[in-house]
Amino acid sequence: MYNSPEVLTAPKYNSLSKSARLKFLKDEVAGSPYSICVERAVLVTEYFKRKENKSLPIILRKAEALAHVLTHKTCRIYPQELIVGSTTSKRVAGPLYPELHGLPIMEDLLTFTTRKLNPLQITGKEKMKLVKDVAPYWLNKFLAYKAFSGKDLLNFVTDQLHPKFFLINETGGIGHFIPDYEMLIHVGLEGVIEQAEMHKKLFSPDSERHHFYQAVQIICEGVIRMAQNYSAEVIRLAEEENDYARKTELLEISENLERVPAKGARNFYEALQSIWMLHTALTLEGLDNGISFGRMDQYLLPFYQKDIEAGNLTKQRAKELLGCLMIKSAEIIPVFSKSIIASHGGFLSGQAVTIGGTDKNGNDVTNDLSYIFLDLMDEVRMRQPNYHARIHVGSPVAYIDKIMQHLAKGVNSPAMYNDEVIIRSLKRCGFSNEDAMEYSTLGCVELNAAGKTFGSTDAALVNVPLCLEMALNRGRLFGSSSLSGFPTNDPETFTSMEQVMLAFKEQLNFQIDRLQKMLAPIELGNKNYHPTPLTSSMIQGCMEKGKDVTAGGAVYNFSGVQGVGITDVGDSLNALNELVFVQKKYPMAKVTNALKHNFKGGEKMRLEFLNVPKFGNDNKPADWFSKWVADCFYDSFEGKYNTRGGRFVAGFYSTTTHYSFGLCTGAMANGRLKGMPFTSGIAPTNGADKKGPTALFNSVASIDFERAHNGVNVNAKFDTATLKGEHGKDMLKALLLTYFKKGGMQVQLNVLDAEMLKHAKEHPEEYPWLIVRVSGYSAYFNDLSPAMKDEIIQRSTLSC
Amino acid sequence: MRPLIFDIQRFSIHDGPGIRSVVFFKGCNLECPWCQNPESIALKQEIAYYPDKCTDNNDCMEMCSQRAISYNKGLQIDREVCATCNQCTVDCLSGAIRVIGKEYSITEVMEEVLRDADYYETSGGGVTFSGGEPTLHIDFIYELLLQCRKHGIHTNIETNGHFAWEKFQKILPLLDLIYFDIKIADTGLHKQFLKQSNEKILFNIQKLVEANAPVEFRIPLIPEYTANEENLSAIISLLKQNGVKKIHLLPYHAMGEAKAEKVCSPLPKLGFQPFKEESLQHFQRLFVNENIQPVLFR
Repeated sequence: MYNSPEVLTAPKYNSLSKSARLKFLKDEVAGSPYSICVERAVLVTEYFKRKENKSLPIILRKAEALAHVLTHKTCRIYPQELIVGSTTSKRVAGPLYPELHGLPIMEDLLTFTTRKLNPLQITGKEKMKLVKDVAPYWLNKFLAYKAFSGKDLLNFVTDQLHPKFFLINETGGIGHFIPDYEMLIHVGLEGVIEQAEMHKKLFSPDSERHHFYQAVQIICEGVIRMAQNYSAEVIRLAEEENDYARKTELLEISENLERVPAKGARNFYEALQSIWMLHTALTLEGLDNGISFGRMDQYLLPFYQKDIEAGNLTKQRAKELLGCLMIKSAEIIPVFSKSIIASHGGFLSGQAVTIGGTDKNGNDVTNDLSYIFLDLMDEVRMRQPNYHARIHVGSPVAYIDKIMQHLAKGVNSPAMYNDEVIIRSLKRCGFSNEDAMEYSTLGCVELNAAGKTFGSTDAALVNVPLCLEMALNRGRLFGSSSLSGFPTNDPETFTSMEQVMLAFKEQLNFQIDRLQKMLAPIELGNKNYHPTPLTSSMIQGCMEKGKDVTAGGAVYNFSGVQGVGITDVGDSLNALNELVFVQKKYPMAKVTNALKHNFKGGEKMRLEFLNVPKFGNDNKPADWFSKWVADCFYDSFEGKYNTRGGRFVAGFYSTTTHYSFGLCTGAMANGRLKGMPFTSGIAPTNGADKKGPTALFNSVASIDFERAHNGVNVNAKFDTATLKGEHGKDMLKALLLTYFKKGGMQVQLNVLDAEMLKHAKEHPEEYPWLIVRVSGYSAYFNDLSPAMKDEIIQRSTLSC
Repeated sequence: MRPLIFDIQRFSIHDGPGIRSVVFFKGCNLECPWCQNPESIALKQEIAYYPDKCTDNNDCMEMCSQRAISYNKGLQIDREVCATCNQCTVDCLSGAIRVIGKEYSITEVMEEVLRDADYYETSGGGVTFSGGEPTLHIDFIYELLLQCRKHGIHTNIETNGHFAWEKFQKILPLLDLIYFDIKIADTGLHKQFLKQSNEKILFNIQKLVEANAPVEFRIPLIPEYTANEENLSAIISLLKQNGVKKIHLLPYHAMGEAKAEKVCSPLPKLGFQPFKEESLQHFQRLFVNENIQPVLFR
């Protein structure tokens, strides 16, 4: 009833009707058990064991091994599918990568089916295969083992088995890139092979470059053969099919597969099938994480428009085809060991789709397909993909209104990205103006130029609060006498806040240096033992340079490192400043002693520290300290480069490491007890935001996001009651757009009522569909640990 | 003396157009049994006690100069003895004992209000003065309104209508909106239930309408008290006499009653059930039939 006239007269987007096929496919996928598929592990091992292959350069072996997997894997076609192809032999399953993190995972073999959290199905026969044929071969050959030698390996294993200071993710491969699907659907793999041939001729057959181009050719041919195998299977099914309509569909699918991905796509449908074939193959090549689709509403548009104009496609059909593809992405799950789940819970695979935004000149490019994706988000609510909407001042009112409508009614998708801030940020870290304008999102919340970047956006996550712990204990962890950090001065000698801050900064810099040093051998390990020629063929720069992405072939190279617990540290510094240095209520010695003893016997003192104003309440001093900690984190990467020649860039999201890091960190001066979780992403600590969403967003926007080049995650939770109706939607819109105007970079919403969640926790069987966005990724509520569920329930509703 | 303010609530989206900050003043000149802010009625500061938060550390008892706090299956505060010195709240770190009402300077209120200025601008929102009864503090509000005008902030006041017209005229030209409660039409019943006659209220309705003021009238729908055929018919006649074409309907909820016990409010526990959908529709129809547009808040 308080609509501004502008909203009343603005054009509205009316949703397309729902599809029975999409509902069927969604139910089938959502109802399938999560499993492990051993095919990849067995086939890769089979290839590597062969003597005749052992003398080949590694890049050729990798190409041939993957080609071996692709051409020998089972081809499964499921009822009613219009887009076919799977990474595994089961409906919803993850493959194993024994040459990467596969071996450490196999320690979990016995418990996969029975473990409480994220159980996975695997048969006894499959287990036997792994134990007998796969595991023994890789025992001394997997990536981390090869990357380090002797003492270094031991150090690495002790550090990373239960990561305290930081968690390095690259030992499992790198992933996290956006393939150049636009190129693929225009020239096809035959185009890539041809290009490789042209380059290859220029180099001598035993040169590295020659091997690279040869590897690209081998693997592209492998993908084409896989498509042909699928085609043959589809034809076989078509012959058996009695239903005429389905028979026709199957024949059309096989025609598509005869054409793509070998050649360029001729229409919208072929383009989608081509993308999916590549997506499965890329998923099987390296780490199955963060391989994202990029700006689908942009690169698919010419195909869509051509078909619509020719009368070969309707909007409804386009939505159905896209829906079929998107549902396939939910069939992919990553297989994580129990110890990795502690840090990355909920089966995140980070396949992002970006919609909306601008062209390279800054003109809005929202189109029919953007709206079709918006429809799909609501119609097919699944774990994957992650939908991300670019927002800028020129975004159409109908587009923004549709997004707000989704968020207000609890679709919890898309997450919103602020073009103005992000484009400036990307330009500052080295992207060209055009590439920054046309940026895509990937993974959970990260930012890249699609098809040009190898950003390793999830290289590592850092436990920032532990640096403060060491700053307050001469470089040692509480309860330990051995030096883990930089030998900073005894805190009892600190006479000013500046000295505390300096000690923290020294500890942080020390850990980041250590992280960089530990990461370098793994980067080289990826280059030397795990090149990814298929990925390289889909990232610009590699073909020109004749270099794999792992060797720095991409146009843009980065390593993205996340800071976890930034605001916990900010709040702690604020409390120390207030009570030790301003009010002089407690001497430093008393504080460090209380922290070391987890405030034992000092509950009153703890409450006093807890009551000092916190980040998230629009309180200037509290916000200033969190901003300062974020700035220190950015500073710690200045002038640091990875071995691929790319800059280290900072981001703030935590997946579920705010929980696992919290477990191994002592009490903090913000009143947090030992072992309790940190805040997720860059949000106020749990329950600390008491002044509502405007105060929260004012605080968050005070962080300098232009330096968070890797991306950030800001979760805001609302109860459904607040946002109900047209009025609630309009208020949400004003709120979020103002936050963006103030310099916010990203936001994603959870709109749910606590009662519903409590019920969902007691009766998981009734809520298989319930999606909760936790710290930057979308997960089913039921996949989360009880502690994470409680966190979701307890996190203060923003406005009651 | 500066008035007491017991809350400045940001992101309020049901107290006028857009996103608003609501400034809640302490003190009221009516005593509605259904009051949703029982802690707002007394003009002076009060001590509120939240047993759920209490850590039973007895610090408050030691701090109390009047020995007004005792422990007997939970904390007991002898309100007769309490001198509201607030010493007990100083050391209550768990937040179980709190002072309701704080003095603010004009600058302090404006500082808080201006923090959300950008949100007001985008949403067409602003600031709302509520209470308690804000017109008890006309001079203070006048100063605030001048400041708001200076910063281009939209203003609204939520009043029970029981004010002296001459005094109200001082702030009238500075108000962008007035939410004016009409509770009980019959003067005798008004006095019986709300402790004051409604003569001033009736007079002010007429005056505001005559002055063509930006006023919206609102009825709290309270079972037995206001939401009955006689009262609503009488209010309808009143509205028609004054040519009013629109009415806000605010259905009863029990959320105020939970707060009442925290401050030992003398208000009765009504314990009514919320209205069923049919009843709400029935009430709306009564107005529609008389060509008055009802706007239901829920």
